[in-house]
Parts: sequence; structure tokens; C-alpha cells
Amino acid sequence: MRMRALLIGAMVALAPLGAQAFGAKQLKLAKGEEVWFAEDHTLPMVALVASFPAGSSYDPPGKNGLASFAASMMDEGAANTNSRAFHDALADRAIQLSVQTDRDWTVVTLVTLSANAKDAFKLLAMALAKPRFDGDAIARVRTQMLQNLAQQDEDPSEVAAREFNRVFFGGHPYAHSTDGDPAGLNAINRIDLKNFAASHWVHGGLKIAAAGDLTAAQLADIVKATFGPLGAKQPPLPSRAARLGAPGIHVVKMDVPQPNAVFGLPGVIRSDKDFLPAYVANYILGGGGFASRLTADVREKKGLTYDISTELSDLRRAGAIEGLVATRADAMQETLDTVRETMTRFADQGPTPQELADAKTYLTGSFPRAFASNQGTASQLSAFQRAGLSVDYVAKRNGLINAITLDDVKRVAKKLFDPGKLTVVVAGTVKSK
Amino acid sequence: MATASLLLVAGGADAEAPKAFQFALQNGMQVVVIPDRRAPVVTQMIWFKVGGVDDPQGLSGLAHFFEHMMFRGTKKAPGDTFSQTIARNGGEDNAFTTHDYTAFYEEIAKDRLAGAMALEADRMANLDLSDKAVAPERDVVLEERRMRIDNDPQALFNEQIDAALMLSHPYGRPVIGWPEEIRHIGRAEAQDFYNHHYAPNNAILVVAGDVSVDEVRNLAQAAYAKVPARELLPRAAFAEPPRMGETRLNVSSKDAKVPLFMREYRVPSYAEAAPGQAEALETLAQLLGGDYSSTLYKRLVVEKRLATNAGASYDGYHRDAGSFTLFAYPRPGVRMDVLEHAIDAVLANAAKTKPDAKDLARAKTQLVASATYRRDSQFAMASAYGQALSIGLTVFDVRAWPDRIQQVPGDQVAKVARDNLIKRESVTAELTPASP
Repeated sequence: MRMRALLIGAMVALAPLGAQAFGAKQLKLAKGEEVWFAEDHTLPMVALVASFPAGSSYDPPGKNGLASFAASMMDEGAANTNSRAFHDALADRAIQLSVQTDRDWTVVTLVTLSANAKDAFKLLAMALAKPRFDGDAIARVRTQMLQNLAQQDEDPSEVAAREFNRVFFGGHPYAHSTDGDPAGLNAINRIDLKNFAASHWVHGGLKIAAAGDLTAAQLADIVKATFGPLGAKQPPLPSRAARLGAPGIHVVKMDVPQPNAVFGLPGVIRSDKDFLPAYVANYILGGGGFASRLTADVREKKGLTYDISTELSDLRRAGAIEGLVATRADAMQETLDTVRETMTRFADQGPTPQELADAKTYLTGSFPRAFASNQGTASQLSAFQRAGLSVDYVAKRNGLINAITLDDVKRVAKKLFDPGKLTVVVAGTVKSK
Repeated sequence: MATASLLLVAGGADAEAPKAFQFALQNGMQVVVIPDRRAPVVTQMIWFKVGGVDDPQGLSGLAHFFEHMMFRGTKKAPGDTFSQTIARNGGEDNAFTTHDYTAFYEEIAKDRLAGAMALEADRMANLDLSDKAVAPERDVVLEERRMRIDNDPQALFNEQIDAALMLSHPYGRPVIGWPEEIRHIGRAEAQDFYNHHYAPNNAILVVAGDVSVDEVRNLAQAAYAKVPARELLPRAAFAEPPRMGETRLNVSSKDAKVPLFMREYRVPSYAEAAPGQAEALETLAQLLGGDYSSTLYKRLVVEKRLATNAGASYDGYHRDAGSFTLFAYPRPGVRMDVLEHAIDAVLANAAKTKPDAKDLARAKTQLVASATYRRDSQFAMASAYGQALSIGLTVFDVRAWPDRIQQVPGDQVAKVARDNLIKRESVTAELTPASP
């Protein structure tokens, strides 16, 4: 008991943690780029994350996978440097360039030793403004992407996620896989890639977050030289998703040892005033790992799964709540029944005051950990940028979470966690015991 | 309070190198401290020198199962109090098990370190194993196995390769265990395992983050010094007989959609190798298959267009043998024997002539930079030291690694390719999709 008293006593000190310990500033630049920066000279390295409005929701009809395909070509040669020479140029300087595409964004992460920063950004500038899209590189990447799709077909978690998006988002551009489909990938040609890069790897709507061993003046120069030459016109956002969800259970037959389920509900978008209460509610129900009700009921009490979790998916044009669980075929029905029961009870009664207090101390107390490294800092700042927040959110965030009331969370939990609206997709089989 | 039997400062001469401090408590617990003052948070890791190799015959998976049981409560912190308390304080906790060691960690605000230490000290001495917790946790582990291994044709394939590579050594048994043997694990076996392996004299505490060595010494003394040392079950000295012939393995899987070629060699680990040998193997792996600038990728994927991806890796952080792995995904329509022939040609060349100077410099630059990038993460730094000490290396070995990589001569790279990548010491394996 002494030990628990010690921790509870120590918790009083939690409140002051926050903005003082870390932070970021926004640079004021001539062209109005959105650049957030956390300067730190402890290590001789820099991390920069640039988010372009170039996600898979911009894929044109019949060319599913174009955004990803273009992103995969980013390190395949630029200007007078072919694919092989470009890869060597990165590797010679231990420059780490990685590109990820989601449904809204193409996110470019560059990590470099500060001694090589100048060369690193020169290479990135070339890759963005003058991509070569050579025929042999296009053919190679297309084959890799097609094989990746084939390999995803082995994996029930991939199959379930893909089918969930298809049924949940209906006709919206969010419905198809970010990785595309075989027909789409095969239909994409060099001109498509070139046009996509020119119209989507642009200055308009671009968000940049950097952390590490640079000065603000150096970063301003880098931003100007690297991103300045890109096109200015921001591509139009897709429309708001009108209808979300296809309630009921959808089964994709697969003969696997452990079927996977993806389940989801309509959620709230990031700018909704209910977003933070929903975030806290989700933490308590399924987002909090071992602290969540779903883990307690499905894993700890019944041993039905290794992992169950839910998260808020805050896409720009749709909000959703998505959960994952995997279990053996003859336990899937019991698992899904348990999920429904736990969710129903949570929607009806909401959290206890203790659960809300615990959620707040976790969510506020864990926040500084996101800023413990240059890469972590750049990636957290970048996530806030993509969510449409302003730079002072870093300082305000913990206060906003602490201000949430039990009534807020109860109201939002009742509104969102409606088991009658659950869309469930199982990849595998569902057997009764 | 003079519990520090040894205090050494690794750092100083080179301002660029990270500082790591080491001392021991009187009960035998080793402590390493890696200050990093950038954010008010710390990472605590406890590494026990016990893992899958210590599973008794017929009970593969016990060490990993036991790692799970460490979260099932003590009398003072019953049930899931441990993880709930860490979460309530803004922390993250988890654990992992390998063949050689089992590690537990918490990432938490620095003013919560004392509490996290109190919780770890409590479960090191006072775990409360009940039948009620054992049965559901066994089901959880079987689900974990289905998720990580049984559902994944490549993971099953790798499990078969490891089993085939080792003739006798328990590295050939999966850490998570064979399903039939996991089912035989009960409370008595778990209690016995705990009594013989979980003790401060079998543990290495690593703290990275916003703390000084004096703070950690005082906190560790207060939390852990009272945990008594225990008599440990001596670890077996496993023999692994010489392999007298290469092994070839063909796995046809109805679940696999994509064919895969792999070859795994048994090679010396960092713990076993002659000076410079493991570093040469590390350099060879980077040269052959570390990234898109590597030889295998350039020859097989870009030039000959036989594969969609190809690479190599050296897994050298083991107490006993390490492994060196090659893989390639054939392009649709390319025969496995054609692919293998091309891989063997690359290997023959690597064994015959020392690497091109530019290529060697590039590989070293990448490896040395990886040590700098690792310093960006408390978790990665704490892991580097914990892992090294768990297999019998020292903090000096970790610190000097970039220098030793820099010193690897080109002809030593060719020599390890010649001496260590030999067919007799390998399993060559093909995974092919079975037609339905």
C-alpha cells in the first residue's frame, strides 16, 4: 500500500508539466508557408516532416493507387540523377528519406546528420520539383506494388481493413485502399505520375514541421530553397463524406487460423467541438491499451484475444471510430458479443469519475513523451498541423483536456457509441462453439 | 550509501559520444544510466538474463509466457494494478522476450521514476501467481501466437528455417513456443521459473533520460537494494555440433500468395566472434543488402530484373551463435533456381575480392550514422546497452562500436564472406504458394 500512496502523492506534481518543458514556434515566411520548428542542438541531426495534400482520396477514377505510386517514385531519380545514383547519393550521406501516403496526405520524412543537411535538402528539392519518372523505375515500382497487394491478400487484418473501408465509406474517395488495386496500378502511366506530382506536390496547403540542430534562419533558407519552386495552387479537397457506415456484419471468407475483425462507427471530425471529449471517451473504452474497458473485458477476463483496440480516425472530410480484434474462429462470435455488451454499457452509463480522472492524468502526463526526441517532436508537430491546429495548441492541449467534464464525456459517449450503428467486417470464418 | 561497487564514465574524450555510467548494487543488480536532458521523461528497463533457451524440455514458450505473468499482480499491487498505475501516471509499459533475455520497461515522466521502480521491485520479489490468472493468460498467448506466427506464412516459414538451422541448440525452438507445449504450461512451472531466474543478481537496470547518475543511484538503492539475491539455476552451456551438410527446405503453403527465397547461415555472434569479425559481418550485410544502394538490390532487382526486392541482415546480438540472412522475392515468372544462381554469383564475388572503396565507405557511413540516430531515442539507447550487457558484452563495447566499424578493412569483409557464408552452415529455403 505504501507504494501506491507514493505514486498518488507524486501525481500532484503532474499539473505543471506541459508547455514550459518543450514547445515549438511558427516561422514567419514571405510566402506564408506553415512551418513549425523546435530548435535543439543536443544531437548533430535534423528531422523534418513535410505534409502535402496528396493522399489517395485525390486518386482519379480508374487510377486507384496513383498518389502512393507517385510517392514511391520520389527517391527513384530526379533532374540529371537516375534512380541508382539518387539512392547512392542518399546512402553516401546516411540520409533517411521516407514517404508515406494516407487518404488525405503524402507525408515526407527526412532525417539527416546536420553536417549533411545542405545536401539532404538539395536532394529533396530535386526529388519534389524535378522527378524523372524513368520507364524502368516505373516498371520496377509497379511490380513491387502489385506484389505487395498480393501479399496483403494473405493477411486477414489487411483484408478486413480493406473491406471495412469499402463498405463503411461507400462511394467516397476514402473507400479505396491507399495502396490502390491491380487494375488501377496497371492503368497508371508516366504522364499520370508526372501530372499528379506537378499538381499535388505543391506549395499550397503544404505543412512543414522540423526539429533539431538548425537555427530558425537556416530553416527559413532551407524551406525557401526546397519548397519555394513548387507550384502554388492547392488541389481542391474532396467533398464531405455524406453517409458513413453499413451497419451489420460482413464476412470475407478466408481459411485462416485466426480471423480478424474491423468494426467501426461514424465519429466526429477534428474541428468538431466534441472531438476532445470523444478522444477521452475512446481512450476509456478502447484506446487506452491495458487501461481500456475492452482490453479488460475481452483479453484480461476472458482470454479471447491478444490485442483489442479502438481509435478515432480523424480524416479531413469524415470522422470515424475504428476498432480491431483478432481471435480464433470459434471465439469470434463471443468476442463480438462482448464488444457490443461493453460498448452498450459504456454508452448507457458513461465513464466513472475515477476513469475520467485516470484518462486525464494519462493523456496529459504522457504528452511530454512525444517530445523526447527530434524525430518524435517533428512527427507530433506535423500531426497537429495536419489536424488543422495552430502552433499554440502545444501549450493549450493539456488545459483543454483537463477542462473536459464527466457530463461532456457521458453525452458524447451516448451519442457516438451506438452498437446499433456498428459496421463489422470479419476476414476469416465465424463459427459457433 | 556507498553501494556503488564500480563507477565508470564512458565518455569524455569524444564529446560526440553518449555518456553511460555503470555501477552495481550489493545484491548484484547491475545499473546503467544514460542521461538525456532534452525532455522531462525517463525510460526504465529491466533486463533479466533469462529467455527462451531456458525453457525446460517440453515447455517451449515458458519464458515468454512468464513475461506475461509478470503483469498479473502481487499482493501489494493485485491484478492489473501495475499497468493501471503506470498509465494513470502518464506512462507506457510493456515487455519482450527473446531466446537470451527478457526485458520490461516503463517510459514515464521523470518525477514518477521512483514509483515505477517501486512497482518493478515489488514484482521482482512478490509475484502472486494464481491458477485463476494462468488459464486466461495461456489463451492470450495462444492468440498472440496465431496473430504473429500462424496467420503469417512468412513467419511460419522463418520458424521452420530456424528449427532446421539448429541441430541441437534451443535457438531452434520458437521463443513463443510450440502450441502443444504452450498448453502444458501451468502454475507450478511458472512458479518454479520465477524462483530460479527472477532476482536482482540476474538483472540489469538501465535508465535513460532526464536524470543524473546520482539520482538514479539513490532511487535504485531505495527501491531495489532490499530485494534479496537468490540462488540462480545455472544456465546450460549448450553445444551445437558442427553441421556436416547444407540443408534445403521447400515449403509449399496454401496461404502464401507470393514466393520467397531465403538462406540463413549460422555465423559467430558478437559474443563469440574474434576481434573485428562481427563488425566485418555487420559491414558485409550492409554492403550486400542493407538498402536500395546495396549489391543484391542493384544486381537482382535493378540490373538483372530477377527479383522485386532483395536484402541481407546480420543478427549478431546473441550469447551463442548469430545468424546471417539473405532474402529475395522473385519477379513473377522467374524460377527459383535462376534467382539462387544469381545470388550465389554475388556471394562468390564478395568472397573473392574486397569491396569497392566507395561502396565500403558508404556502408560504414550508414552504420556509423545509425549509432547517432539511435541516440535520438531513449528507448533505443537503453535497449542497446541492455541487450549488449545481457549477452555478456560491456558498455565499452557499445561505445566503441562505431570506431570498430570504421576500422573494418576491406579484405576482412571478403574474408568473413569466404569463411562464414558457407553452404554447410546454412539452410536454403523456398516458400511457394500452393495452387488451391
